[in-house]
Amino acid sequence: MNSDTYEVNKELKDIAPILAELPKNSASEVPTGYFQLVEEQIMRQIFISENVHKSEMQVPEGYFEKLESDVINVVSKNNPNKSSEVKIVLFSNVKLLQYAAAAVLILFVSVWIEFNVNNTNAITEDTTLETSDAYFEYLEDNIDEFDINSLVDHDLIEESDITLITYTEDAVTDDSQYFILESEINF
Amino acid sequence: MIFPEDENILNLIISYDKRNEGFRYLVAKYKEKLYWHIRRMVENHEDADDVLQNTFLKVVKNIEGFQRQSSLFTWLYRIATNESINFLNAKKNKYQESTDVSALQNVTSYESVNETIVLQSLASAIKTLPDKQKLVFNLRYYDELPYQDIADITDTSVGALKASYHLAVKKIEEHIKKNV
Repeated sequence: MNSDTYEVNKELKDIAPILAELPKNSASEVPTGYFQLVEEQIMRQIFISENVHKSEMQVPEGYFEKLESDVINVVSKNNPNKSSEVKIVLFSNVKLLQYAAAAVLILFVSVWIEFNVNNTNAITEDTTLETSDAYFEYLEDNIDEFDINSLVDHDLIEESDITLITYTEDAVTDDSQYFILESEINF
Repeated sequence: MIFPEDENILNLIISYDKRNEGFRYLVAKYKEKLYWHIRRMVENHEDADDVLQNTFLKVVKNIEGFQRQSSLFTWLYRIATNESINFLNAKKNKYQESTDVSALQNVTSYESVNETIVLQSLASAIKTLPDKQKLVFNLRYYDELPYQDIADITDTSVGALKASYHLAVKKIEEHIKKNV
């Protein structure tokens, strides 16, 4: 019996003699082999807990506290003369930069306007020419006697403008006659 | 089995190369004491098992921060007590139902009918105590701890603990006298 047990029992006898006589062994039951089993379970959990902890990305203790001073030291060693120099930007230089920026901006705007206006004209002309050529080609290939008579009736062309070319049967297979406009038709 | 002193166990744990050996000693040395301390608080074996394992995991996670201002033993008891209280608070309603069953299981394991009746009376008397008084009673009566250690575990003054323990013991004694 150690001193703590003795002291506790003595105290208990003085204030509660009936309670002091009762057995202190716990009446509660524990499964057989529980304490051996639970020790292994706890050790497994400790192992998992420790290894999960280690697998996380870690940095040495106090790394971030030292980082700033370490970087400054390295920079100072590599550039001992320049470390204390501070770059000064004069106000007049700032104004000059503003003018230069404005000039560059104007230049860009001018080039952009010039480029876009010229480009638009070129595209329009090309499109017109292409359309007219295609149109006249279409008319030449597809005009027939009825069309020519209609044009003459409406005084859009004169009979003198028309040259009737008669092809021999040797030269043409399917069609016997083609009317060809010698002059361009102006609508 | 003879276990190393607490100081040596702590040194093994912080040495890293023998860390596992240190934890093995720690668990082996304190598993039963902590189990019974927890069991008396939560009463049910399954709950005690859960709380015991959580207690050791918490110890492992916080061992680096242990300042050695108190003894390792009282620090472990303190963590076990807090874990038990948290567990009881989280499962208060369920706990009330299960304690009645476990109390019956406890007393039926005794052959002596008289002893069974007395122990049943003791168990029911302990249940009537307020939580703090019950904790102090268990630590003093069952674990036989000095008042100073109980004070460290419960964050209470020694004077208040003595008063609390004496009150608890008197209540239990009266309860047994009336019921046996």
